[in-house]
Amino acid sequence: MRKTILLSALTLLIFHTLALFCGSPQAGLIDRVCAFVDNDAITLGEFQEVYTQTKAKVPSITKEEVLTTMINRILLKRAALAMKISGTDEDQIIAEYIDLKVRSYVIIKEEEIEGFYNENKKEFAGAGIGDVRAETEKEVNARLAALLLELRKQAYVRIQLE
Amino acid sequence: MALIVCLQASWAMAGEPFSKVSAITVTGVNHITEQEFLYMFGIKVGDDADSESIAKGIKGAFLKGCFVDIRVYAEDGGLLKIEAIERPIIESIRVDVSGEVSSRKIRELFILKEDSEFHDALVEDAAVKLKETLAKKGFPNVKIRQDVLKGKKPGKVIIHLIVDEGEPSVINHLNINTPVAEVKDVLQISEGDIYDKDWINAEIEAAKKRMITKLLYFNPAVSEAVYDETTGALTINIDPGKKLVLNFKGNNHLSDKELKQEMPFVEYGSVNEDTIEEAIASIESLYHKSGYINVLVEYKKVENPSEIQLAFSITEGQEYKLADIVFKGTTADTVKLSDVMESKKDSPYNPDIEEDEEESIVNYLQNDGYTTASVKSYKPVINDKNKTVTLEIEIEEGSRLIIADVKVAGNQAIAAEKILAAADIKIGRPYVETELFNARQTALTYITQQGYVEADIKVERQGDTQEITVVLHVSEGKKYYFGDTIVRGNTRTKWEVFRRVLKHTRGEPLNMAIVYDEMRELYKTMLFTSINISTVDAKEGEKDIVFEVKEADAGTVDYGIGYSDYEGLKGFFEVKYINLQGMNRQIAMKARASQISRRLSLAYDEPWFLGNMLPFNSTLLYERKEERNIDSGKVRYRTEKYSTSVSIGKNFTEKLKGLLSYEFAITNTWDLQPDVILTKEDTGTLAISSIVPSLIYDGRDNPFNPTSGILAGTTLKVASKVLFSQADFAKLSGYVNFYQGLSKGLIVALSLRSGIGQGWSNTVDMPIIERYFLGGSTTVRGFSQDSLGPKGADGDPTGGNAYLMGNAELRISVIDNFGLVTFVDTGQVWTKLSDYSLKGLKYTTGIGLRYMTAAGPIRLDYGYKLNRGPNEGTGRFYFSIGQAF
Repeated sequence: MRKTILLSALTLLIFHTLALFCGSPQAGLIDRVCAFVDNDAITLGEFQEVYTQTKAKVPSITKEEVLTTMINRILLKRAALAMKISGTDEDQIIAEYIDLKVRSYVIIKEEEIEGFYNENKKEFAGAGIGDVRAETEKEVNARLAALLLELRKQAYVRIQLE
Repeated sequence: MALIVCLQASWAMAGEPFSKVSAITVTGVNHITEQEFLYMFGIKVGDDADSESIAKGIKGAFLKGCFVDIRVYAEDGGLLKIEAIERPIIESIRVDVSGEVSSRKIRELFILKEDSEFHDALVEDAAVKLKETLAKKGFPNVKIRQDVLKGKKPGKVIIHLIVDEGEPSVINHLNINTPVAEVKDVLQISEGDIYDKDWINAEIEAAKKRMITKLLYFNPAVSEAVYDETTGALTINIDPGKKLVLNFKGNNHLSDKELKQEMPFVEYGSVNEDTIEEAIASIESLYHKSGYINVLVEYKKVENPSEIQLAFSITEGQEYKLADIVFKGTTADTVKLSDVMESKKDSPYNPDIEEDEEESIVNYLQNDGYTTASVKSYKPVINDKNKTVTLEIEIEEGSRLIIADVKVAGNQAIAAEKILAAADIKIGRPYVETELFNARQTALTYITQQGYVEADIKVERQGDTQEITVVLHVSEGKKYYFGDTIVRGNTRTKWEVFRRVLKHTRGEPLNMAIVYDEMRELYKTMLFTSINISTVDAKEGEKDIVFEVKEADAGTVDYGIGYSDYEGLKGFFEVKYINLQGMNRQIAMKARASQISRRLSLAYDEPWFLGNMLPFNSTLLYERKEERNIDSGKVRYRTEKYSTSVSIGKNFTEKLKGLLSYEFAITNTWDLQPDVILTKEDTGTLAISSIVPSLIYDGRDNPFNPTSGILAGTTLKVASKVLFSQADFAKLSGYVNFYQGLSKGLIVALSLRSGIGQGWSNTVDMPIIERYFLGGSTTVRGFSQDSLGPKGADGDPTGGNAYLMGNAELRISVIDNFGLVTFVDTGQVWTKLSDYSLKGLKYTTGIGLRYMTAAGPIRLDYGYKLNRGPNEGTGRFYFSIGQAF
C-alpha cells in the first residue's frame, strides 16, 4: 500500500514536473503555411489531405513531389485566368491552358503521324510508330516543364515544409 | 503530455466545429494593424471555428501579400493564438556611388523600390540587372556590392548599395559619314559623351524622324553605331535618301499650307504611286468639302539622285451648293430625316459622304422601328446653270415592328416581374435594337447585383408580323456572396481608412456595383493614384475582393502667381500633407500675398471626426489688408486680423452639406477715413466671437466652370457678449446660382445674392469689417471695388447692413478655349434694412472675354453703368481668374 502511494506520488511529481517544463497550458498547432506562390498560400492541412489521398494511389510518391504538383497547379491556374480562360472547375481550366500553350504546338493528328512515319520510315531506323508517339509525349512534357520553369521564375515561390 | 495530446485532438478534427472561440491573440504583425489582420482572418471571438475555417482564414490573410507564414495554435478554453511572420519591407535604399552617375539615378535604375517587399533572391537579381544596365549605359567596369541592414522599425530592412562605376566608355572621336552636310546636325551626339548604348540607339531613331519630318528626306538609313573600345571612336553611317520638294499650281480656294498639311508622305516615309494617289484623294476630298465637286488634280514627278520634285496641278472648277433634299418612299418626318444628315440646304455639297448619309438615314429609321429600312437610291441631281445640287433619296422602309408583349424565360431564383421592371421595356413602343440592348444591360445589371455575377440574358424576337413579342431568356448561373476583403499596396494608409469606406459585408450577395462605389469613395480621399479591383475564389460560393492600391505622394507643394485689377500682382504658396498618421488627416500651411494684403493660415482637417463621417476643420489665421479706392489709390482703412476657428460638417446627401463653425477673431482697424465711421466698433481693436451655422446645396456639374445645376447656400453669423464678443450682431446671408446649357456652347447663368445684419445691445450698426459692400469683378461690374452703396461726407463708401444683388450672364463658347460673355448686373447696399427700396437698385451691363484653363477661366470684363449718378464714370475693366459666380 505504501509502495503504491509512493509510486502514485512519484508519478504525479513526474507529471507535474513535465507539465511545468512544457509550459502550461501548451498550445497545439492547428495549421500554418507550408508553401506559397506570391500571395497564394498552401496550408499544412490542405497539403496533408492531398498527400494522404495521393499516397493511397501512388505509394512511391514523396511529400516534395506532391507539394511541387500543388505549386504547379497554382502557377498554371493563375496563368490560365490571366488569359481569361474559363471552365467548370480548376482541372478543366488548367487542361485548357495546357492544350493552348503546350499541346497545340506539339500534338499532331494520328493520320499525320502515320503518313509522316510511312514516308520517312528509313529515317526512323527501325523504330515503331509507338516510339514516335512516345517522342511526341516527351516533347509535350519538355515544353510543359519549360513553361512551368518560366512561370516559376516570374513568381515568388517558397516551400517551408520543415 | 497526455493533456497536450488531448487538446490537440479536440482542435484538429478537420471540418468539425470546435467550441466557441473565447479569445484570439495575434503576434508578429507590424506592417498592418491587428484589426485589419483579424478582419482578413475572418474569425472573431464567439465564432465556431474548425480546421476548414482556420485554413480559410490563413489563406485570406495571406492574400494581403505581406506574410511568409501564419501559424495558428489552439489552447484550452477556446483560445486561438496566431503567430504571423511578415515579409520584410524595404525601409530605404542607401546609395554610395563613386563617379559621374548620381545616387538618384542609381535609385531610379535599381528595380527594387522603397516600401516594396524584400527577399534575398530579389536583391541579388536586382543588383545583377543594375550592373547590366550600367554596363549598357557606358560603365562596363562597374562593380556593385549590396548589403542588407536591419531597418529602424521591426520587419523592415535597409538596402545599402555601394557602386564603383569604374572607367567609363567615352566617345573620343565621332565619325558621322554622310554625303549631305545638313544631315550631320540632326544627330545630337558629341565627342566627350559617355557611350550609352540605349541613349545612342534612341538618338539614331530620333534622328531618322527629324530627317523625315524637318528636312523632308525619305527612307533615310542610319547604320548601327560602332564603338571601338581601344580608341573610343564611334562611327555612324547615314544615307539620308532623297529630299522631297512639293509644289502646287492652280489652287486659289486652298492655300499651299493647307494642302501640305494633308500630304501623307511624312506619315508613310515614302513617295510612291500609292502615296501619291492618296495625296490626290486628300486634295480632292478637301475641295469636295467646300463644294468643288469637279476638281481635277494631276501631278508630275521628277526624280534625280538627291531630290524628288512633286508638282500638283489643280483645276478647281466651280463651287456647288445643296439646293434641296427630296425624300421618296418614306412616311417618316422628312425634317427630322434631314436633321440627321450632315448635308444641309444652302451649304456646300460634298459628294464624298454618301455612305455616311445613307447610314444616318437607316439608323434613324431603325431607331423608329423600321428594322429592315434601307436606302434604295441616293441620287445627286446637278444643275450646272445655278451651280446647285438637289439630292433625291429613295427609301425602302419595310414594316414597322411594335412590341406587343415582353416575357421572361429561364429565371429560377429571381422573379420575372422584377426582371421586367428592371428592363423597363414599354409595350407599344417600336422595336429598336439599341433600346433592347440597353434594356438587356439594365436587367442584367439588376440580376448580377443580386449575386448572380455569371448571369446572361439572350433577347429573342418572336413573330414576323408588325406586332412582336420580346422574350428575355435568362441564365442566372451560380449565386455568389462576398468573402473577405483584402487591401494590398497600402504602406502608409491605415486599415481604418478603408474600413470606414467599405459598405459590403461578408456573406452578403456579391454586388460589384457596391465595390465600385467603394472604389470611388477611396479615390475621393486623394490618397491613391490607382485602385485595381479583382476577385478571388474563396470557399464554395464566396468571392474575396482584393483592392490593389497605389498610394499617391501625401505631401504636396503648390505655388502660383496671378494678377487682378483690384489686388494687383498676387501669389500663393501652400505646403500640404494629406495623410497624417495614415488616417487621411490633413494639415496645410498657406501663405497668400498681394499688393494690398497678406494672409497666412494653418489648417487641420479630420475627415472622420470621432469615428463618424463628420468633416472637422480647425484653422489659425493671420491677415492684414488695406481697403483702397482703386481710382485714387487713397486708403479707406487698414485691418489686421488674428483668428481661430473650428468647424464641423455633415453631408446630409451627396449635394446637401451643413456646417457649424465657431470663430474667435481679434481685429485691429486703423487709418479709417473719418466719413466712413458709423459706429464706435469701426476703429481700434475689436474681439468678435461668433457661431456660424450654414447650409450649402451644390448641384453643379463642374465647380470650376459649371454648365448646369444649382448652387445655393445660406449662412447665419451670430456674435454676442455671451460668447465673450465685444460686439453683438447677427447677419444672415444667402445666395442662389443657376446654370443651364441652352445649346452646345451656350450657357445661361443667373445669380441672386442677399444679406441683412442687425446689431443689438450697445451695437447699433455692424462694425465696418462685417458690413456689406458691393462693386467689383464678382459683384456689380461697372462699379469699382466696394464703391456701390451709401457714402460718407467725403464720398467714401461706408458699407451697409443690408444688400441685394442679381446677375445674369450668357456664356458663349467661341473657338477652342476662347469664350464670350454678355452680362447684366444689379445691386444696392443700404445702411439699414428699413432703407431697402427696389428703386435704388443700380444696373450695369457689359461684355467679357474668357480663356479656359485647368484652374478656371481667365477673364477680362467691361461693365457699363446703365443708371449712373451725377459725376460717376461710365464703367470699368476687370481682369481676374475664375467665373464671376
